[in-house]
Amino acid sequence: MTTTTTLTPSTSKIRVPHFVRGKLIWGDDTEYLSRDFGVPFATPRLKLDELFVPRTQQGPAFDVPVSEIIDFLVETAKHLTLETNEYLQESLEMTLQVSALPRRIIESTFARPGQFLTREALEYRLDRTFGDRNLLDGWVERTDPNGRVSRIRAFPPRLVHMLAGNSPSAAMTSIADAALVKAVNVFKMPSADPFTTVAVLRTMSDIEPDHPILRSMSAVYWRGGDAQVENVLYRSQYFDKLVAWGGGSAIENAAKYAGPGFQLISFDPKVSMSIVGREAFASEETLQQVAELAAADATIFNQDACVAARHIAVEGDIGQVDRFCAALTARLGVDRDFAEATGPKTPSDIREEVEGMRFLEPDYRVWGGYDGRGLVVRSPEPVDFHPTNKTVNVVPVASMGDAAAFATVATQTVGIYPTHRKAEVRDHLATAGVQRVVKLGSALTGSMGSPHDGMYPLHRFVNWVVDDDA
Amino acid sequence: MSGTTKQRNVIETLDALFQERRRQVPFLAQRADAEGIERIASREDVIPLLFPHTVYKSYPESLIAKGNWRQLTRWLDSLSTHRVTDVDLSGVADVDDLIDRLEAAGHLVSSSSGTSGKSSFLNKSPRDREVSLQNMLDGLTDLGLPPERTWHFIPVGPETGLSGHNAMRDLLLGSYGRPDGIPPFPAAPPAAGHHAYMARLSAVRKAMADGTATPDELAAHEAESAKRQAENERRLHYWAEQILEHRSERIFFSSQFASLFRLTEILRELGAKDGDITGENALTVGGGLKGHSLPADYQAQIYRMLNISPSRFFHYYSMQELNLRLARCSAERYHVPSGLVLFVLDKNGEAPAPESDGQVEGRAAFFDTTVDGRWGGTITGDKISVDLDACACGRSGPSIAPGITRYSDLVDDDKITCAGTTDAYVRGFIED
Repeated sequence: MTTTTTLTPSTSKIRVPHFVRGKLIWGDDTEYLSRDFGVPFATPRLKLDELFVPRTQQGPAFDVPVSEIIDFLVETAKHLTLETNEYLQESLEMTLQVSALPRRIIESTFARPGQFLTREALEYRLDRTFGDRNLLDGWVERTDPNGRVSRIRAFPPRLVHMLAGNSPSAAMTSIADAALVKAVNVFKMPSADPFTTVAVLRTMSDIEPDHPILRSMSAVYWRGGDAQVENVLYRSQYFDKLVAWGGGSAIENAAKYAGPGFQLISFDPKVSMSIVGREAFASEETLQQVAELAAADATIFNQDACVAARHIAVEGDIGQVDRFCAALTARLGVDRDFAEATGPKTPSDIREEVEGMRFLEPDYRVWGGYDGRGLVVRSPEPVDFHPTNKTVNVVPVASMGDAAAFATVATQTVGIYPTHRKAEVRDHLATAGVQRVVKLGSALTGSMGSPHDGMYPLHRFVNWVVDDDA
Repeated sequence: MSGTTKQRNVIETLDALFQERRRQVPFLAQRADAEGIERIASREDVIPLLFPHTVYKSYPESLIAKGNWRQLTRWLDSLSTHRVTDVDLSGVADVDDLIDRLEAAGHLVSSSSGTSGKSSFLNKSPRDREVSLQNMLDGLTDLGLPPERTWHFIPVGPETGLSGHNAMRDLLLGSYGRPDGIPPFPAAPPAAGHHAYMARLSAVRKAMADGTATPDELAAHEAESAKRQAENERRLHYWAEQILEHRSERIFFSSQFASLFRLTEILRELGAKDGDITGENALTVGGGLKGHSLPADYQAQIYRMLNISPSRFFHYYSMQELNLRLARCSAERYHVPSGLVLFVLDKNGEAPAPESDGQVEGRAAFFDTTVDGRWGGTITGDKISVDLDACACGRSGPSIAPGITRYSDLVDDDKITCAGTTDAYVRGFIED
């Protein structure tokens, strides 16, 4: 890693505090190695009994009105500004030591991780998810067509969250979600970022130290897959649901504990793609604009994110598609908020496959290089390898509808140009398994209150309980 | 010869081969041009030119599914010393047909499936095969097992039907098998169509990932796989019965560990105990466990049951990219034979790994100067630990410690990311 930090030399041990039901815990009892860069870090000893209130008791936040929780989250967001928040600053410095991304991009992700937390946004989201916010605060009475009366509550659940190490806003999202449903929570922090969740919780603790929401939360680290912890904790007697963000063997391993009374809510690991219609070739200027939009989607976090497009289906003849490829290649090598002009080099397995294709022209054609500035491969069908490190596979199609064949159950986001043609393909894409269709260039943005990974997550989090008079 | 002279000779040999092959192997010429390498003046110069083992599976898999044999041979040609332009491709129906045609034209293509399910294709010349076979006999002779036709010879299997495997089996049978030896397994060779089967396996896997495989296709594939497994099981039972009938006579086994271990299990199921088999038996094993998980003491179990002593066990480290083998010595270390140049590289295979106290650990790479059909430089997927000083067995030169692991087995198991691959959605495809 080339970035230097002033706080801690990268060879020395990093101290990672735990946050246990409102209290910050320091300790050097257990030492781990972050695999990404081999930086050792130390955590306090894990005391499992202290992580959460037992099922014999109500959770601390069960009876806190949701509007008060929103107040607390909105207040928190005001304090989540990198320039003024020393916890975020510290977390940023530590994240830099274990992250593959450069300082500039990490700083972008730390700038304002709570910006989506406004009262309006949160209320809108709850209304879209639950229809009636009162379901969270108490028992909402209704009468069925037979005249039978019952009362329903979106009852606070007991959740264990396995967090992904993607970004601070992901940590903030998980905390906000957990707070909104008033859950009893244990956050298992990722080895790629065992800092930021605690940084956010400390920020909240400074605002209101003993808030019931904080007494409902513990954020700790153990090595993913450690049966001494997971085989003990991952039981229906302690938790209702395992909320798993992402993929990898740690999640696969944890998923094995799912069973009666202990459900898996899985935000699966995903791939994304784009579809470019023939309108892109209306003029040279349009082509350049479309190439820029496509590049913006493909390069998110140097393409190390589920929303980053890897394959682009282009409606056109070979000559047109090749012009698009050339324009795209140029735009891949550009500095962006969340991408570097020159990212990590092309991995050797991709390089080998691509070099093999150079001998198969004209069916296959290659643009760019292996230096991390961008590589584009045009092939008659999607390539065998998984494009990473700013590698984009462009596949010509005769019509936009043909591109749906490239979408699978693993496809998350599909960016489409021009916007009005989304309607033409969205049913085909959804049939194949796609869960999100956006306009090209907007993979990273989104509207509020939308479903995620084919569900309304908060709706899945809560326990739907009925008090029936029938 | 002094160390420096020897080193200089190695570099001269490498450069001479490079100058010759860059005119013959288009992939090498492309790589050399991209790296700006004109000549080999030091060991380091050759590192960017070593081919990762994955190069030999760098063709698009759809070429096989679509039967685009012309493009596949074009790709193979780019990695070959001898042109692959003279092959009759008319009427080729599957990969087995293709391999037969290539072989008829003097391209003894060696193919094997990897963990991804995609097969590799390495073009070997008749000379490559000759060198490899002779190297096997030399290794056995050095161990004290010169060719003499006094053994029962058991090619434990699995039987692949691959011509390279058949040639090795026939060589060992012809060199060691006694004329009145245990007859071969009488059933028809189950492995006819091995490549086509592997290609189908791969195609079904890909179709699953694409979402186009139907339940019936999947069921048919699983039935075929079960049938092949049952056939292999019957074969191992046949060998087990023959072994027990000839329990005091010398038997020469050639196999892989996974099959051998299953053989010892079957022997035990048939009532045999350690010590029952008393013939002074010999064994040669190449390759690792290929993804099979066996008990920690699997080797000891095999040796006890089959009565194999270290002096009669030719254990070597090699791979299909090499003609030559690194034989294991009495100190249980693998030695680099002349003709083979060892490189220990960093994890990424880009630079020499740092040495410390005569020890170096890293990614194994080789240059096999005997390779004729291709460029002889290979970067493996193996992590090795090398002692540069003299070995306890008395030999000088670098030796590789036992306990070779694969980098692909050393991935971070605590890494969680939202970016996935379609592979995560395809359950339950295990290699044969």
